[in-house]
Amino acid sequence: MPTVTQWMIKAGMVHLVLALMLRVVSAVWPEVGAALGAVWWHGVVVGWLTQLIFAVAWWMFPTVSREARRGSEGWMWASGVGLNGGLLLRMVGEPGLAWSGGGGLWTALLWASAVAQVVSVGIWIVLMWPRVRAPRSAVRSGGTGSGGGR
Amino acid sequence: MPTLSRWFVRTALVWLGLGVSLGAALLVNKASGFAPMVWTLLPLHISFLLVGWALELALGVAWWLLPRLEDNRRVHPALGWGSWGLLTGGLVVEVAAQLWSVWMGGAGSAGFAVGSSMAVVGVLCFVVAVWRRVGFVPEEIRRWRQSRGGAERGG
Repeated sequence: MPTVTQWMIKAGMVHLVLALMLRVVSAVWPEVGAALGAVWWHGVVVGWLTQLIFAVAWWMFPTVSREARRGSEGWMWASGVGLNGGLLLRMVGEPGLAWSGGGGLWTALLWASAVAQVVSVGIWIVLMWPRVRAPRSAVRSGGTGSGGGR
Repeated sequence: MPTLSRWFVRTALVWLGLGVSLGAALLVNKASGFAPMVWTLLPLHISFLLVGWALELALGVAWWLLPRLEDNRRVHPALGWGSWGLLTGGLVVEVAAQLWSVWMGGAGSAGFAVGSSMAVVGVLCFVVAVWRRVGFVPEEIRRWRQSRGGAERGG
């Protein structure tokens, strides 16, 4: 398993635990829950589920070529850092904005979070696009792989 | 990866890009309040990511990795393609209905009903197409297991 996959799966599990803890906090203190908004839900769906998919697909999808293998590992790290960083910024920024009633810092954090997540997902899509392909044997023989077109 | 899986997964990647971009617009709007009407697109953000991204990716990978039947076959390809068409088409109908209701002022509920019904039929097609493949063990594997069991008992 590639190192970046290991880190992202572990980060995903941390997000899952954090998100479920925030859910408990929201249930016990509804006013805190209101300030947290959709943070816990995004922790589960983006921080855990999407991150797990990103990491496992990077590991298991067909390689680009024998030479290039999975593609640029550096960009994959950038994608992982962007996704986690973006979520953490949101975790801080969203309650901050709700409690302060507005303000330059919190607005900036949410903007940074949105940009980081979009860029991170964009990088991952570009990395994975060429890996969604027929098996190498099928490409060599000009076909679509075993059972490829069926 | 078979052709149908490639279509499912690449379509899922497109929905992911759209869903996350829309999500970013919603988040930025929460911070800056630049266009309150963006909030009306929240149901689309959810549909893009749950149906378009997660569901289509899961079905594409399942079509690729579930065991194949005798003669190395992935049976019912027409149902598989029907499933992709109905799920993707259903989501496009939902988008059109939502945009119609936002900009033209009508209720988009009929469009939503049509779109989500298409998704249900699409998933049903997929379930029927892969039903026999779930847990299927090819004959050669079965024979190999039997011979191994025999060898273990003999040993």
